[in-house]
Amino acid sequence: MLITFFYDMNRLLEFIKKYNYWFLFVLLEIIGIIMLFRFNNYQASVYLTSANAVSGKLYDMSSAVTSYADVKEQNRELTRQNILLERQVAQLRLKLEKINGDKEYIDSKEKAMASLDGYTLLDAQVINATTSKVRNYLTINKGYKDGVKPEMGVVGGRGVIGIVYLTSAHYSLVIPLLNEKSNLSCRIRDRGYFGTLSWSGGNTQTAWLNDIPRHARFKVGDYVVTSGFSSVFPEGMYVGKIEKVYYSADGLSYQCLVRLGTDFGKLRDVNVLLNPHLMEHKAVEDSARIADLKEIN
Amino acid sequence: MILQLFKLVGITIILLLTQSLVLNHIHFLGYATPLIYVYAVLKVSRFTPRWQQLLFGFFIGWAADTFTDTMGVSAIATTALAMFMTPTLNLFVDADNNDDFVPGTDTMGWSAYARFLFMAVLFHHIIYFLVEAFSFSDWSGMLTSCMASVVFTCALILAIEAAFAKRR
Repeated sequence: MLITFFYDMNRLLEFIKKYNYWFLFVLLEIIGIIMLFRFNNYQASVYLTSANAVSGKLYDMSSAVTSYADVKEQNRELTRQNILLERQVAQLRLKLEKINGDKEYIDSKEKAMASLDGYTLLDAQVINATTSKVRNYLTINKGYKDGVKPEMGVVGGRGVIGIVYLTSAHYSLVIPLLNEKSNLSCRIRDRGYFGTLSWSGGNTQTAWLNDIPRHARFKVGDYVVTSGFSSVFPEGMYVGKIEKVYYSADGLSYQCLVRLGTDFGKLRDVNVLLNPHLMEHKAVEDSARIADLKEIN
Repeated sequence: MILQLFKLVGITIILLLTQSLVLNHIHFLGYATPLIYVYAVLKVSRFTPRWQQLLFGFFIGWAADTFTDTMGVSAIATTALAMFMTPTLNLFVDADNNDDFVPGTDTMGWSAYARFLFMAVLFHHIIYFLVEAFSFSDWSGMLTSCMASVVFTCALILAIEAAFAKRR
């Protein structure tokens, strides 16, 4: 083994001896190149610009790979941010309306909005969903142990999703807008007119906004937002955009085809609106309803 | 041998001084600048050890850079010239010729020497101007400068050869 080692070393030395001028050539060229970049601003700047472009591209590719690992967390954060920003926009619109609009009307709305403040957002993921049926449901991975209660609202980055129907310890069933049992109180933004959003099957990207009065002034492209009249969603949460307008069957109101903001075909990250006063609000409303029924009977 | 060495050193010094004091200020028609110092590299005898040729070429280039404030440009070009000078020379020499000689019109003849000179100078100047420009954005200007300088340099070197040949 030792003999083989010395033999190999000998061959290496002979190779170096035979081609020593090549090594010297490379060394001298390297020295020349170092002098070139060290003492010449122009060549150094061209080199740095190209090097920056190359290294920048490499860092870009590396970042694309590593950022993919963070995309889940970023998605959740973005969804939450989007919802908070929507709320901010709604509040700013209200302030603007206050400056320009009817004070009495605005005051009552402001009180309603103030009473619905205090929502907190709970991150959740949709773990199961159907969209092909008339009564579709979503399952999310948060339950009553996380603070979720029935009739809490569920929203996503692109708008309202639905209402919690049933809860277990760690999971909840949500009735989305794509369910014939869903009836969401909405209004046409900046116009003030109210209606009820419902879905009766068919296209999963559109729903119907009913009971818009015939005297209402609005146009195709207007935004539809939550009215704030239910205890589930605060006022001003984005629902969709008016795509077409028809007369209702009885001709007494408009029926608007609304293109929904949320794509129910690819739901993943959602937020549950935890309203600590939900039960109290519901109790008051239920009491009033019961009292009305007793009077009728 | 010692005499030849002194002769080579003397030629080198004269060429470097001529280059820095006179020729560096010549830009014929805005393009051509003769780089006469390569003549010193071409005056090394055929069978000089390659490592000596390389070191010599590097120092000539480095010295020329010192006077032109383009550190590294000439060093890179003349080192490359020194490396490939012998194989280039062998292209213009008979295969069975194993004599050691200094390339010149008196040892190779005008035709062979002129062709060898053109090839060697062209090789050097291409590398020089490429490294100096360091970009292909104005490749036509660079090419024009390169070819004009090659012609000017070759003409000067042949003139020197003719002058020395006449004196013999």
